Amino acid sequence: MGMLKNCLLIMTRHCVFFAAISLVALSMNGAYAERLVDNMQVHGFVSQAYIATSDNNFWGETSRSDNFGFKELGVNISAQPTSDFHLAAQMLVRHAGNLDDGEVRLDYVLADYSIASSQSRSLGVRLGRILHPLGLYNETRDIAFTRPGILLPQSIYFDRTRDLAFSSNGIQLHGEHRAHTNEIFWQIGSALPIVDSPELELALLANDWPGSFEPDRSYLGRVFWENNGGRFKLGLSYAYVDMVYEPGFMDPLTHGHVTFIPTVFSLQYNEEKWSATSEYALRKFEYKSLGAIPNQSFTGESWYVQSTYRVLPTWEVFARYDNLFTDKDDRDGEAYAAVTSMPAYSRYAHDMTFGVKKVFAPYFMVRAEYHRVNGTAWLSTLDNQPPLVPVRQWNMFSLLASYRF
Amino acid sequence: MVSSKRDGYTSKAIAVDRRNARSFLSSGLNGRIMFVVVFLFLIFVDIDNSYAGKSSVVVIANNMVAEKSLTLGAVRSIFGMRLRSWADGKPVRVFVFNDHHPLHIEFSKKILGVFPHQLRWSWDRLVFSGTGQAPIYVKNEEQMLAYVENTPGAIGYITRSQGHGHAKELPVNND
Repeated sequence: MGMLKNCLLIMTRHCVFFAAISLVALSMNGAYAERLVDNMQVHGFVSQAYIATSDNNFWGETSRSDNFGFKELGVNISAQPTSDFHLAAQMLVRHAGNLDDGEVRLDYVLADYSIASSQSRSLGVRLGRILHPLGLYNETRDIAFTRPGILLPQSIYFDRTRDLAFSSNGIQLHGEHRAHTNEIFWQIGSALPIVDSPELELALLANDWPGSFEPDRSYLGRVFWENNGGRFKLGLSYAYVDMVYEPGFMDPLTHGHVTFIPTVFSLQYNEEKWSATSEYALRKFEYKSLGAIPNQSFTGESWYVQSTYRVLPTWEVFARYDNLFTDKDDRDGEAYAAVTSMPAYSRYAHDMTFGVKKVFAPYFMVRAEYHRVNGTAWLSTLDNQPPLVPVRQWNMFSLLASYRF
Repeated sequence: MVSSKRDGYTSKAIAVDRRNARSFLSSGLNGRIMFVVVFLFLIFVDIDNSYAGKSSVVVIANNMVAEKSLTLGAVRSIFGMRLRSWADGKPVRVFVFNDHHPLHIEFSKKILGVFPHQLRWSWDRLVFSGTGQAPIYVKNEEQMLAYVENTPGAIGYITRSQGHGHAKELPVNND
């Protein structure tokens, strides 16, 4: 009954959006010629997850009966009016427990101009709201079809600070160089990060303070070397994301800075039936002149290894081991626990995941996965409010159906 | 056909996966270290072994396209939807069959030396990150030929024995 009510509520809330998608999907149906004429494309996706957890909550009250708290729906449009120009925008509606309430948002809207392009190299510039080039998966983190599981490895692709990590408004230079079987891809940019998520203060300042964050000038860059058409990929990403805290009324905090400086090393090897992926990240946080919060700096450490095997063309299985240490100088969280009287296990998370994917058609797939997690470091505070006390050792089972066009 | 050499690596990899899944559960840290070591070893195996080779598939292009041949790097970038214009600045139009079409699988492996799942991942990445567009899908070889013949800047692939009508064949240099 609750599920039905839930579904109806979502349907009503998004019926305009559904209608828009249906219209677009209908008009695109078999219209190859039309697409050629105006050189415009429309794509989209809809995903719904079922999540059940043993103790703690992830994307909704999943330890009780609210198992359908995660759903998302996106539509993008792109056009290439000339071969030098590329324009694109994507709208997204996302429900994720208490983290995301289903507000329509703009993921990206950008113009890309190709400065130079030849068989051996290319150089271009992008302007607008651009997705962050961070690791292998950041830019496509919302598209179930491109993720290596229902959840991305949470140690690096935190869902609790998704907006901050996802996109920002700015400018980006990008290039490609090809020689024999080697290719180099790079992006470098400057931007103002997006800092209006309600979870951000909780995640970074452990409390909802009277003031708020404002974006400050930030820098991002990534370089990838790929061999033999992407058989082997090796990448390095770096970002310097700066936020200013503007104090509110009667605020114990003062005007100061919180800076997030992640460095991600990425590695992937692809075979026809088998792929292996690993990423290692150092995530540095700096707190400066915030008043009640003393100046400090600590570095978190994250890494995962994943192996995916394509049993049949439409069946895929994977295993992943994912690790997060909030402070690499206090891996077991004991020093933090001694000072704050918060549990030590809130400072780490070790997640062993097994999953399976079935592709029913190129546009429809279903995934199932099981997580055995030790630690609660990547759990959202908003989804795990008192009186719930997060439990150290917990399990999660999830199903996800996803459709795209 | 899949080479027996590759099969060897694949089954080795699965065996390694299974073994490590077990040791994760039983021996904790040792298992994890072992997994990392094996992972690092496997990525250095077979890196430079291209599967590009002789095949019954040929790359075809619209007659107006000035290029007489393409390098492997260029053909990979074109079908990877990353090279958007020909040398004369005219836009490239890419036509493909769907992911599970036998000719697409052969084209990907033999001409591009890339697996269909990698192409799919790159296309999805471009389409959903706003950095590129998807290729245009055709249903059969007649449709492929008709589109390539009639669309300026078009490129596609077809069985060699089909002939290429008014389209032209573009040889790929494996240098």
